[in-house]
Amino acid sequence: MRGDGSLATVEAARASAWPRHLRAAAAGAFVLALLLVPLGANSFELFLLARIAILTLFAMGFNLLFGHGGLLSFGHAAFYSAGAYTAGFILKAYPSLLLGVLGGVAAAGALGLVVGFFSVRHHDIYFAMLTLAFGMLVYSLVWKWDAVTGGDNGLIGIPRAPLLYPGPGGIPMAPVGRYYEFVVVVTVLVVAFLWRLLRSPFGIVLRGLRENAERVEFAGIPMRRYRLVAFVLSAAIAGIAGTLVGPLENTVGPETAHWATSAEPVLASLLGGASTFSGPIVGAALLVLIKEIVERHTQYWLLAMGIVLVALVLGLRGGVVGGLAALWRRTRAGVSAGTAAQDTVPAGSPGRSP
Amino acid sequence: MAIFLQAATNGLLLGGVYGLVSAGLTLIFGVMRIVNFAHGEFLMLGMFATYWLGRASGLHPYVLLVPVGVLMFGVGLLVQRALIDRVLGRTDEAQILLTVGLSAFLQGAALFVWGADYRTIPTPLASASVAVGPVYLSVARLVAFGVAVVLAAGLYVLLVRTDLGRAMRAAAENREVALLLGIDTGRIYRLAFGIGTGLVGVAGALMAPVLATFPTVGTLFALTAFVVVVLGGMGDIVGAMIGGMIIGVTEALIATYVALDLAPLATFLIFLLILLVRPQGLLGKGRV
Repeated sequence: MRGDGSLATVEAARASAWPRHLRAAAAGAFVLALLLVPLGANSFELFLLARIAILTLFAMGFNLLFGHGGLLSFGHAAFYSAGAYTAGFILKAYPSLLLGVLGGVAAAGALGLVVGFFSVRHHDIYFAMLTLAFGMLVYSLVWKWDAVTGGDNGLIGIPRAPLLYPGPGGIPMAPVGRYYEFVVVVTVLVVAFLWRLLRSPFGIVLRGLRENAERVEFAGIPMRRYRLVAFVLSAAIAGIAGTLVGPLENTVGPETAHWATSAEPVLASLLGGASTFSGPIVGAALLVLIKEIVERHTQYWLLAMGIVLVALVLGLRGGVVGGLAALWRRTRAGVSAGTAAQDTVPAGSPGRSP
Repeated sequence: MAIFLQAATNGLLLGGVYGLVSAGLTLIFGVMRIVNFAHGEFLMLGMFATYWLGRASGLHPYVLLVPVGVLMFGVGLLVQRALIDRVLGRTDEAQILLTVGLSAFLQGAALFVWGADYRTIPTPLASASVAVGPVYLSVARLVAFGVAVVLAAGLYVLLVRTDLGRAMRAAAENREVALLLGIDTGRIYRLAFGIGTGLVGVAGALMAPVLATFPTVGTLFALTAFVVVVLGGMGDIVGAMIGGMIIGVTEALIATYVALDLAPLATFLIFLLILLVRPQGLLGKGRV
C-alpha cells in the first residue's frame, strides 16, 4: 500500500523542497527554542504560549478526523472537558500530574469510543449533527450535575501538582515556566506521534476514506473500524489537551464543554489549513492571539468568531499554511517553468478544500 | 389523568411551533440540500423584530405576524444571495461551517446590539387561558399552534398544487434537469430560503408573547428542529409537523413525570434512536 496514491507524490514534492535531515534539524531547533523560552519570558507570555500549545493539541486531535479523515465533528468539547474534569478530580484527590493526565486521556478515549461507535456509521451532515448533539448532551450533564461537577462554578483549586507524586523526588511543577515546559513536551510528543501515524499505512487508509470511502471499502478495508480508531485517537488527544488546562488555570468550568469550545479546533484548523499537517499548529497560534486581542478590547468574541469563520469559508479556503504553500509552489513553478509538472499536485491537499 | 392531559396538550401546542420551525428548516434542506445551522438565530431575529416593532408601533404581536414574516423573508433572500449561494457547489463541510459562522455572527451581533437582557412583551394574552373539560389551554399557545398548522398546510399546498411548488420539487429532485426544463434554480433557491426563513420568523413572532426574547433563545429551538427534521425525514413538511408534535408531547411528559431537566435528554435519545434505526425518518420519503 505504501508507495502509491497521492501521498507519495506529496512526499516527493515535500522532500524535494526540504531535505529530510534539514527538516528534522529545523524541528529540533524549534522545539529547543520553545523549551528555552522561560529564561526570557514573563508569566503572562508563558500562559499565552501554554494556551497555544494546548489548543494545538486540541486542534491536531480534531484535525486527525477532519482534515485527514474527512469527518467534521462539532462535539469535540465533550472529550476536551472529559479530560479536563477527570484530571481535575484526580489532581484534587491525589496530586500527581502524570496520573491526572493519564486518567483524563483514558476518560476522553472511553467517551470517544462510545460516541464514535454511534457516529462513525454516518457521514457528512449526520455525523456533524450527531457529534453536535453528543456534545450538547455532555454540556448539559456538566452543567446540571452540580454535586459532581460544581455546576456553574466548575472545579476550583486544581493544583499544579508534581509530575510523579507529592514529596521529595516527585518533580515539582508549580512554577509556570516548569509547567509550560511540561505542556511543550507533551505537545511535541503528540505531534511527533501524529506525524508518524499519518505517514503509516493507517494514515494512508484514512486519507483514502476521505477521498473516496466506497473505493477503499471495495478494496476490502473495513471503513468503520478505521474511522472508529481515528475517532478514539482524536478524542483521546482532545482529552490530553483538556487535562492540561486545569493545572494551568487552576480551575475547569462548564464552558469547556460548550459548543463554542468545540468550534475552536475547527477554527484553528481552518485558519491554518485543515488539509496540511502543520495547519492546526499555525492556526492555534493565530487564534489564541486574535482571541486575546479581541477579548482585551471587547467581550464579543462570538461576533468576531462568526466573521472569521464566514471569511475563512468564503475567502481563505486553504488556510494560512495552504495559501503559503500554494504561493511557494507558484514561485518555484515560475522559476523552473514547465519542468515541475508534479508540483501542480497541491502539497498536502489532494483536491479537497475544507 | 387531568395532569397527563394537561401536559400532553401543552406539549402538543408547543410541538406545533416546533413543527413550523422545522418545516422551514426541512424546506431549505429539501430544496437545496443545505442544513442551516443559523436557523435558530432567524427565530431569535423574528422575536426581536416583533419586540422592537411592537415597541415602536404599539401594535399587538399578532398584527405583526405578517410584517415580521415579510421582513424575515427578505432577510432570507439576502442571506441566500450574499452567502449561501457561494457555497452551493462545495463540500458539505463548507456549507456547515458557513452557516455555523453565520449563527455565531448573528448571536454575537444580537448580544452586541441588544445586550444579554431577557425582554418580554407584556400582553394580557400571556396569562389568558380557556378551559376545555379538565384541561386549561393558554390562549397564546393555542393561537401559535393554530397559525403554525395553517402555515404548514399552506406550504404543503404551495409545494403540491402550484407551479412554483412543482418547480421547487423539480429543483430538489435534480438541479441539472430542472435547469434544462427552463426552471431558474437560482430564483427557486432564493425563494425556498426566503420562505424557510420567513416561516421561522413567524414562529418567532408567535413565541414572542410566550417566551422571553434574548440573543441565545434560538439555540434550543434549533437543536430541537434538527431532531424533528431527522425524525420526520429530511425534506418532508408533513413529517416535520408530526415530528414536531411528537417531540413536543414527549418533552412535556418527561418534564412532568420524570424531571424538568431531562426533557432535552429525551429529545436527544429520540434523535440517536432515529438515526440508528430509521435514518430516513418516520414517514421515510425524505423529499420535498
